[in-house]
Amino acid sequence: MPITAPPAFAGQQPNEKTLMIMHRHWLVFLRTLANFVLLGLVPGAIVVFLILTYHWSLASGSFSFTLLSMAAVIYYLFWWILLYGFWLDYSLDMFVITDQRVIDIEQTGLFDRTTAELDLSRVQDVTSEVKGFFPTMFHYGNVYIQTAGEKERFIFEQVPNPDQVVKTILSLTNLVEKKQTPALNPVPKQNPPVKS
Amino acid sequence: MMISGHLLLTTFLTITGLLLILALAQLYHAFRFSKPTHMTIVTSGIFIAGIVAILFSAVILFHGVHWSGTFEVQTPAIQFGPQ
Repeated sequence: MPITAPPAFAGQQPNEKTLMIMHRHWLVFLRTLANFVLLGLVPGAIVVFLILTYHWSLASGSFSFTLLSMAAVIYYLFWWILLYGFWLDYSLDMFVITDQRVIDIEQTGLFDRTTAELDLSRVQDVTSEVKGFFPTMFHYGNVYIQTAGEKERFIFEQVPNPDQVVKTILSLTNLVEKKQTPALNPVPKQNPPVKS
Repeated sequence: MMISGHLLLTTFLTITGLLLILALAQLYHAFRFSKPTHMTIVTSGIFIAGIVAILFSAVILFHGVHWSGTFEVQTPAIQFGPQ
């Protein structure tokens, strides 16, 4: 798999090369967006239902109209801010693979951000999982990294092409292992020059 | 029961103000933790445009309201049928 060099991330070391920066698959956010669209239609649907079924009419400037207008403005303002919050949560969650480590950055709330790092030399096992109809059709799933560190298991959730991610991590861990065990790759002895 | 227009407006502006503070916090968060990429700028612009549109619609909806007066609150507050 060709290794590309995407833009650097926050916290990158000077001699560190970024190989992959991943976010959750776009379909994950699209499903959230679909739910928000339905929520956005609810107030309008209620008003239309009341007008058609109970012949509801509102006089502009009346208390009823003012109260409902206020409620609608506050509802949509909150709805819009909440939608942006979900977008931020989606876009600020990222999974980074460099030539030295793997990093899992999770935004769990507006004021809650967790960054977990794992050195590639401490990776013990890497597996991928694609489960469900939509993940299978759109090729996204979870990558599980078994570690020898404090955090036993890293999970890259709902990333695109998880099998390719697994291959990349395994190839990197093999490279790191070869660098750390030079005794297994001895330098061949050179024959001394023959004196005539 | 009568309710002051100023009280109603103050309540509305307080809630709206708190939501706008939350929106600003989100915008700060977006630029703080992500590189100022093209996507961040575009989505933030869309977000701000949406807020402006909602507030503008509020101005239009409240155009005929006399806030200096009082509202007569009928029971129930929302009346069905022609007025």
